[in-house]
Amino acid sequence: MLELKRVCFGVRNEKGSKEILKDVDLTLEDRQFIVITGPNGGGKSTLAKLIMGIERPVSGQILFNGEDITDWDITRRAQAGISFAFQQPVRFKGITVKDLIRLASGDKALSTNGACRYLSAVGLCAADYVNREVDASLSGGELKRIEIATIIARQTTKLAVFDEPEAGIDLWSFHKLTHVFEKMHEEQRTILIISHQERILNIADEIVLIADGRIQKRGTRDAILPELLEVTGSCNFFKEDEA
Amino acid sequence: MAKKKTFIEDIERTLYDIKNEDRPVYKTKQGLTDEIIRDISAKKHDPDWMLAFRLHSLDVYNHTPLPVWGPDLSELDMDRIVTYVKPDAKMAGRWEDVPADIKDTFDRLGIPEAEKTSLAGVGAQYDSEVVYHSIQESLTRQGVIYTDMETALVEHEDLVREYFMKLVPPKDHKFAALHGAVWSGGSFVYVPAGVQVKIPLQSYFRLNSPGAGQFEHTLIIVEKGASLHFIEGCSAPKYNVTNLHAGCVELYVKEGARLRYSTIENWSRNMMNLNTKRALVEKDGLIEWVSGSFGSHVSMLYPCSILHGENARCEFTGVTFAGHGQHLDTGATVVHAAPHTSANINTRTISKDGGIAVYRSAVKVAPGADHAKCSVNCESLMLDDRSRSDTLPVMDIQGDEADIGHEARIGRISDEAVYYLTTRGISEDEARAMIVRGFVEPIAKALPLEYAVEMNNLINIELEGAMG
Repeated sequence: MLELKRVCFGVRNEKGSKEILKDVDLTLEDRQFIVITGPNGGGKSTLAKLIMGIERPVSGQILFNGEDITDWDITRRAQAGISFAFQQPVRFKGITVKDLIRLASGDKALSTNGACRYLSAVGLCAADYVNREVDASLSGGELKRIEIATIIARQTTKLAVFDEPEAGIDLWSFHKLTHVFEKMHEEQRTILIISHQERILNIADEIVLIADGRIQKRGTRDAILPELLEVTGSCNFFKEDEA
Repeated sequence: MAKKKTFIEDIERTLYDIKNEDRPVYKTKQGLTDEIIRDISAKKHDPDWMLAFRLHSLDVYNHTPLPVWGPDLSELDMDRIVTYVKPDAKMAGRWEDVPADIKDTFDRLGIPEAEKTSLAGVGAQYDSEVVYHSIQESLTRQGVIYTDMETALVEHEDLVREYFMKLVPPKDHKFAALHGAVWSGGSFVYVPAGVQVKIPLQSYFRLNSPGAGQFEHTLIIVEKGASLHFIEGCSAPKYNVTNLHAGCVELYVKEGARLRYSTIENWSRNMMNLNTKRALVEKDGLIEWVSGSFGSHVSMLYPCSILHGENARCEFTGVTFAGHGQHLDTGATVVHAAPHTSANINTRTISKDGGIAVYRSAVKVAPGADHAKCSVNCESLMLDDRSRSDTLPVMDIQGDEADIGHEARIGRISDEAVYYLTTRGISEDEARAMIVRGFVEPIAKALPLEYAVEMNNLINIELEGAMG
């Protein structure tokens, strides 16, 4: 399904250049559910953005269903079935929640009821939100849940990438969110989630640990979880109750 | 089959660029002389007072300098402009009686279709004369008058004489004087006291003749407690010579009356659009402007509302889109001339491909116009680094206890916003268009649906590139 081959990424600024990802090799099989975790600044979000095409690798290759998509733009990747949920979704004036869900679903005629179903799936009282603008009047948590709803609405998704979906979401809604991922998994989608949350780690097929721009470990929950603390030092960033 | 406006979101740049053969029955010579003015007046069978008015206006024009502010108008050479072009058509009350090519143009612009579905009356002007006019009989029975200015001058001369260019006198500025000298065509609307015109009336002004000017005059009087929604549309095909539009709109909103005046101006890129619009609003009256400025090479347009009676109100909603080679200087003026008057001005300007969009407003609170309230909100969006957007608000507050607010925002479309939308499978261009449509949403909301769709279509055309 997805294959990253020796992918490198770096940035250059006035202080010089900095490597973010170094020779990352990563393979996802069809219908696999993996969670990428690791300390802040380790390169997780960059990896997600490279998969979506928001960033381009300095070197290396990205293959999707056997095709080299390294030079594909975002639109082409989206049309090929890659979906991406932003860690911090963008706010827009004059664009409603329904507009965004319709856009994501690819169904210009999607009814209000249809849009509401997706909002309900993420625990939002749909009628209160469907006609609201996606602007500064929405809280960070509301915006985040709407973001997840748009990914659910995207029926053509083959690979769904979520960048820290739990960030900003309250505990109650978080329960609903884990069900969303489980359901997507049951629907035979391939899922890649960047997360620090133990409950999300618990439902993944495999966990990949990224630190210092490299993949440090990969394995099942039982194999990886005990080792996480060693790699990440005393940080308890993935404790259960952290939302 | 010829393309026509479908009111769906398709991009059809050739729609507005239909060029018919220029075959007027009469055309004045180029330029502006006493002889030409007398010639126009004679052809239009003006009463003597109107000829005198035209000659006086010409004199004012000759003694009035060009404005020293705003866009460069030096390329406008009045010696090369034909000020009166009488099309080969008599005014008809049935579309079947309008010459085929002219009817076809209006057909493709969607006017007869809109007349059937959503308008209570239509006026269609082609070059200097109105070629079609209609009004629903139920309105006529209630005393509503909707006709071309020439007919009004014959059938309602006293009313025209009382109001014509009293609100915008020739001395107002050089192009008001020009208008007074050469005006032709336009619409006259009179709504008697207490009559509510529930379905809009629309006049559409089409300039077909290359190198010509269009100087239509719109005079609307909404009497005490009456209401009206009037829609004005304008367009022209592109030629490689300068065309000029210097129309004049005078709106009289009497005590407790309401008038909504919606315009989508969509001129070709060889047009100098120097238009004057003004409303006089009496006690408890309301003027609502919805103004879309698209196309033209240069535009200067600042609809003015004089809030003359206590509690008079003004709502102004405007959008301006300047692309390559365009300098659109638009805005609004409000004069608070009585106590407890209020105004809301809400505008969006967009510039692209080196286009210059200027928002210029003037808010004046006269001495004694106490407790005036005015809120100005103007937002500008620049789509690239080559484009320019300026905001030039002027406020002159002489009344007591005034509550005046001005909020201006100038921004660009962020890459992040574009990337975000492309992750949903649309192209970067579509993403930008969606963001721009969201930006102008407050204006689209103020327009009737089919005109909102037309505005979106124009935005798509502008985003695609230069039209015409």
